[in-house]
Amino acid sequence: MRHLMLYDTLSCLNCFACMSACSAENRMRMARDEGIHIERSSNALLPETFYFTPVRREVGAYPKARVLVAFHHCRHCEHAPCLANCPSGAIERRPGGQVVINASACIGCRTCIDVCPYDVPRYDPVSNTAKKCIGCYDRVESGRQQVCVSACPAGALVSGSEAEVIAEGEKRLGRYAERLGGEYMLYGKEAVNATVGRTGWLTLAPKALAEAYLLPENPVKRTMQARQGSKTLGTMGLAGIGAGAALHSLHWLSARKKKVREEEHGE
Amino acid sequence: MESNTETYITAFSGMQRWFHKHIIHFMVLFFITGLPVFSTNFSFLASMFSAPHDAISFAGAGGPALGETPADRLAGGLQVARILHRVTALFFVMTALPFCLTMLAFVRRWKIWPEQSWGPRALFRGLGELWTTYVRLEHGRFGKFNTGQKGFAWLMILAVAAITGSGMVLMFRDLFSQAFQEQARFVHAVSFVFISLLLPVHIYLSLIPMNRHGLRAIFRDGLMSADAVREHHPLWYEELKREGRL
Repeated sequence: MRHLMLYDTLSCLNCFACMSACSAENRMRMARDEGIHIERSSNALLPETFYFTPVRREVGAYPKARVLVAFHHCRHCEHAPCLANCPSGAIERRPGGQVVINASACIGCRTCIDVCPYDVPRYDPVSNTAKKCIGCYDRVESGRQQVCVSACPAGALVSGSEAEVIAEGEKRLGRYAERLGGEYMLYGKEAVNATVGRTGWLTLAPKALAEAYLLPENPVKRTMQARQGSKTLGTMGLAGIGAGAALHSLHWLSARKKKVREEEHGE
Repeated sequence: MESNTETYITAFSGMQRWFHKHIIHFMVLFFITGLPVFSTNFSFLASMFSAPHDAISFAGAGGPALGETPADRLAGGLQVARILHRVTALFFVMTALPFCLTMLAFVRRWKIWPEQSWGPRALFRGLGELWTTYVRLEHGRFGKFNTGQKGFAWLMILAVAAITGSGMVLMFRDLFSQAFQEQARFVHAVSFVFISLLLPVHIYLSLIPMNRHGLRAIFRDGLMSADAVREHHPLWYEELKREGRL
């Protein structure tokens, strides 16, 4: 069953409890899985502690300018380009839809970094692997909420089944539109574009501030698209060359046969 | 009729033959080590490299510490392939540098420049000679290389320069911005596709019987008989006559 998360930008207090909890949880995971204990992970700038990072943005013009904070994180895309392009098959989709990098199978080629339209995965030169949010799949599969969701004191982060989260998002969206006016969006509920599809992490935000909240209308990496296109053209080209060579060989053989026959008749 | 059967012309120098032979080895290594990273359709090639990887890890760890599952074997094989790709690149650059420097010293004497005149008319005339050669299967009037071979040579020079430059960026990618790394990866992939389309054409046309003299020359002693030059490369033959080399 697809498990979704929702971030409601209007309810968010900017207390950053989610960010702190995420960082702490991942330090615990490092202690559990890699033997890197808190005294080491607290004093190092590790990619695992930056899965959920705030980005300060200034919107509007003086005197109405204000600062808002957007969050940069994995969106667990339906058609995750990182998963589709990973040559070692190190990226898998968990039953709840979370897109997870398996560190033991990651070869550090950074393909996921090159293809992610949201610029999410980070390369860790120490372990020669790429790192990104795992959607707390270990917690979710044990019947618990993601740590950022459980840390949020304002109910701005919600998680649950697809139907529950979408219903909650739409309820909030309707309420904001009614009470505050303006247009709102539930980013990721519908397919964002053909590259990423729907997202496992929905964001509720005013439509006018979509860009400021890091919600691109058409998230895509042109270099990735062009690379994919070159693969298709290459395959078609090779097939064409093979067919051309086969036809030319037949033409040469037929000309050769004709020449030999003429020579025999000449003799 | 005068016969020059005993007279031989040096068609390819020792340096050219040496580089041509080694570039074949490099291409094979680049292909088999690069394809598994280029596309998951070639993951089976990575499995080939996992065997030495597992053997080394077995010897080092005293047991099969790595490669226990298909995923581990794929990852291990890919790592070996990536390392081999980079080592091959190092040897390729070490081989290409002396070749390029030697060739640049004689840039005006390259036979891949237009034979007599430049421009669209000369190009169409050259294409007509190609038709005569490969479709009518008669010898066209061209020099040491025909228009197709010259075009191939220039496209190959551009593609190899692009793939080498982008490969160097990717090898030292931490020195560059993320956007530049992505562009380098795109250039690397596109130039690879380009090369992989050019090479089969080159190999096929070099194997057809009318080109066997050149094929023998590049893989053996670099020599072509004057008779073969006169018959297959009339403009080159005339040039050699004018220069008094025949």
